[in-house]
Amino acid sequence: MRCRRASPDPSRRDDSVHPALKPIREKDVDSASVSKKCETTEAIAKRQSEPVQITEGAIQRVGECHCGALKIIAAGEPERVYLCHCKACQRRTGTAFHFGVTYRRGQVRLEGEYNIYERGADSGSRIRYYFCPTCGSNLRWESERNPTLCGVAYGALETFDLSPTSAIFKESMHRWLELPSLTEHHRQGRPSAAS
Amino acid sequence: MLTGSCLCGGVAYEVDAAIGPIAHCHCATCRKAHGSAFSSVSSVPRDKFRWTKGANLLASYESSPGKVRRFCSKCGSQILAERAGQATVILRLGCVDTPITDRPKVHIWRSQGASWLDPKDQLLEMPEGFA
Repeated sequence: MRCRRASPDPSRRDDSVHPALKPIREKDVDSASVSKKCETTEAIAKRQSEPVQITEGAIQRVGECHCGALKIIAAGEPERVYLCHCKACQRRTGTAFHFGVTYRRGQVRLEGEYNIYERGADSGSRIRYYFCPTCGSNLRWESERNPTLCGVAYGALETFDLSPTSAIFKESMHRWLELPSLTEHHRQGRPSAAS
Repeated sequence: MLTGSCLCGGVAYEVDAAIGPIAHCHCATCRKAHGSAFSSVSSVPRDKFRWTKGANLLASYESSPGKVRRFCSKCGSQILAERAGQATVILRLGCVDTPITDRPKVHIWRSQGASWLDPKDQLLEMPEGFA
């Protein structure tokens, strides 16, 4: 497995952009975030203080990137299925909104080569995205804000049996995006107590 | 004029044209590429489009014969798709910086889309691509 990390361009400074897109200051970029360190999924989980523990017999949802080189396996039921309308998610996915499935980190396994892109969120915590270097598909992400959870890209999954029940960053939702009403909307991120 | 950029800011472009008709595409390859429920895209004239920053950071993936999807190798943002010889390139709207106010025209490839979304009451819906 090979993995690489990249950090945001510190020269990208524009106060007019969404808070989630404000650039990381030079001093905030620690040396680890720009190193080319290779991690196994187990090492990722260890760093996040929760081992990968996929229970035998649990339902598994399997996904892969566009070219098929990077796979993701999520065992058991997710904690949350949601949409995010923040501008950073729009840019990262290239589409109008992000559709995420949140699991406990120990439920998710990545198989294959990936790159890591790391950025600072407006909450002050750091977010890491794992994407395929060949086709660019983002499959997994994690935030320091929620050290026991990670996200899986809905679009990567082979089955569509999950429906979103909440949406965040509604304030930056495209007005022309006509989606079904969801039970729970948050103007920005979800309150930390509920995250 | 339209401008666009990726999440890390390494790649940017300009288009000397207005946004074209917007479509939501639910095909399996768009879902995989964008990781979301569908992609929202719009074509602009190729001769009006230019990269302004970071063209050397672009990576490409040929998702179907002749169709090349370009993304930032640093942050993975999907930026555009194109076919050689076509007069237009297809912008991925998540990376468009210019505010978009046009209402989308159509949902395409609904035959491969998620069942929780039923757009029929709002927009034209096609089981596959444009007729």
